[in-house]
Amino acid sequence: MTSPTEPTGPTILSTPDQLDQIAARTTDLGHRVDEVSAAVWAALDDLGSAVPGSAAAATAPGAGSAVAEVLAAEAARLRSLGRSIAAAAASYRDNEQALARRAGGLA
Amino acid sequence: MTGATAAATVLGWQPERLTSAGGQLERLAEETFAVTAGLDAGVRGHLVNRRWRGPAGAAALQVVERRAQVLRRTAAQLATAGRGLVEGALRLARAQGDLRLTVDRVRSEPRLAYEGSGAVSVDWGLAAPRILAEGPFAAVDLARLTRLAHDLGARVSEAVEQALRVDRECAASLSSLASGLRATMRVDEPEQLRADLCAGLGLPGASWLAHVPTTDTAPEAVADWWAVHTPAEQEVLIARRSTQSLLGGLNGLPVSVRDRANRFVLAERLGEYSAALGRLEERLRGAQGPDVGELLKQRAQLVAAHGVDQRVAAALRAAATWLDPITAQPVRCELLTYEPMRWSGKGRVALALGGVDSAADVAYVVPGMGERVDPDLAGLVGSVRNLHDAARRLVPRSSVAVVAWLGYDTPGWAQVAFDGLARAGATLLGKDIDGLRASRRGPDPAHVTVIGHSYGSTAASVGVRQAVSSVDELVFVGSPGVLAGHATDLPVPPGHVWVGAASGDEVSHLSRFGTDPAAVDFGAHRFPAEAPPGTAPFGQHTRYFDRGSSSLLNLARIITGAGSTVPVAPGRSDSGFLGVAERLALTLPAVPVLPLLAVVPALPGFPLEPVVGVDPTFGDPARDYS
Repeated sequence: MTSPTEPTGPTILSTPDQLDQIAARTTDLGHRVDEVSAAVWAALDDLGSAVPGSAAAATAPGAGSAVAEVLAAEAARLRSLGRSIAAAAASYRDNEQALARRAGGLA
Repeated sequence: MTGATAAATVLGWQPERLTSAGGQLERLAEETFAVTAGLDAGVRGHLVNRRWRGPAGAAALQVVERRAQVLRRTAAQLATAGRGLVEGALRLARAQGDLRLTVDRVRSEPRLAYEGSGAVSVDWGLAAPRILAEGPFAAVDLARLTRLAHDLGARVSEAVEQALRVDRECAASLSSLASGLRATMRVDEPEQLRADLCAGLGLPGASWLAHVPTTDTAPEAVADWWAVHTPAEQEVLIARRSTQSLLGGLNGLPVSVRDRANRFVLAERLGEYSAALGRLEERLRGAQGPDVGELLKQRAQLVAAHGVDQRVAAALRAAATWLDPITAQPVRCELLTYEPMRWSGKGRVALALGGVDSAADVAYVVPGMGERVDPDLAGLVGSVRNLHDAARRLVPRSSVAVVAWLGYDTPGWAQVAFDGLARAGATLLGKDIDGLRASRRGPDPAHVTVIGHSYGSTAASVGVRQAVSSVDELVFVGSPGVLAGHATDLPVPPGHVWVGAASGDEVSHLSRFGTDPAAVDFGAHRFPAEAPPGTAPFGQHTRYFDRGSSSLLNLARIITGAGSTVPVAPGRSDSGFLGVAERLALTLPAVPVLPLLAVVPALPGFPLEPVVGVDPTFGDPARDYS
């Protein structure tokens, strides 16, 4: 803060509530990716018994693991991002309250 | 697959399940695309349109774009693999149908033999008797039968080969999916991800472990940086010698993390000290003549160079034995700042009692002139302990942490006439307050109090204005003047600027560095801050944290948010006897004023003012807080 009469607000035009919505949406997308990850793995795992003894059956588990690994990591990152955005929203909300208190103090 | 088992194996395949698996991959690819679209429209678009600016917004946007990119690529690869499986299943079904028809045709001809491997031949056991019986006509039929066996065998081989070709293509498609995704992972490995994040946060460096933010980084960005690491990665950062010394002073990190990192560094320095001292002692035992003097000099220098370490270690050892007055459990003690080499070895240290990361109330005690880690840390921590224990007794169900903040270069006699060190300290205090707020962001922020004692009150009066974050309570005790004209100039909620000025505290009358906060015109809430009963009526400048003092009781009330119960002491209407000394100092600003105080108790007119505002509850056994 440079002076009590010139409070520096957060560099955001979103409200904390809007950021909370984005955070929830991001987290939800992370959960959806998790579900995709599990479903891909199941589909490729099932492929082994559909064409037993085939080269495809031999390759499918590795592919399933790779897909599941990537998607699970993506899901985790999205959920982490959701948490970070929610934390930012909370922080901005605190800041708003602090600014409001400060404004009250100046009134 | 061997030729001997190929046809039978192919006939055992279930192309419809391959179609199902491929279709499932295609649907999941669509779902992944939908997630990507959701990220683009629902998150990225929102971030862009709502204009979340600044490093955190930029980092969030960058992460979203990166995740969308990876997911889009993954979805495309899934779709390709799924389509490949579906198309392969169709071709496999055709090849399998051809094979099955051919095998059926073979089986419809009794003189042909069919093996599971797919080989077709004339069954000579059935054909030979007819040839013998029918002569030349049978030979013609045999030739046709042989051609048929050959043709059907070729068709079986072709169908099997077609099926195996399709299988290889499906396998290649899946292999491509795996290798493509592994390539994605290589590109998007954790180090790269963190590098991207750190770049988004404006942090320098090449690898994520080297990306430890500098102390200039905004605490919010530091908190973001820490949050993207997994617990295992955080442990690596704390345990690595190259990073632990950086973490210890990083505002925005949880204090428990800083404590662990700082204790590692302290232990290492103490180990080095012990080894070096041992070597010197060894040499001393064998030294003679002038060597002894030189070695003794070196030992004295070594001991002096590690004075801060010794003081900190001693304070931590002492604190480890202290018990919470309510729970009788050990009080949590945290070394949240430890910079032993700062200010030419005077050291910068902050030590907290009570667990800063979770305490409902957190108070910083900013000491005044001449307070150094070596030798004053133990005394300051003792004061902090008194305040912590008093607050715990006042509000047993709550939690409180009190920080002994030797976080600025306190002045000696030569510098105390000026406010330069107070202003420099204020900058550091402001950063530390922001650090606390960043590390405690979320739904449960701490109730924060800054208590400035003596020259520390001057620093605090500027520090709270330097901070981006606000504090809930600001307290001046024994203040020689604050750099604000009125309480409302300070970014603290109305009615939450407090001042304690004992009647026998000479320094609190000085107004040397600005306004006397105890003056009625300043507008602060002055509270009774007398020394314990029986204390001499002068020299009370150092008694504000004494057990049994009304000052300690009221400070405990303030830091626990019970300010409404704090009694009012009348404000001063003039600067008293020492106004004379002050006016003298103003005319000779380079002359340190505090040394003049040494003669004050001998002057007539003491105490400077009557005992002010004795707390009516003081001494009540039911309210015994000490």
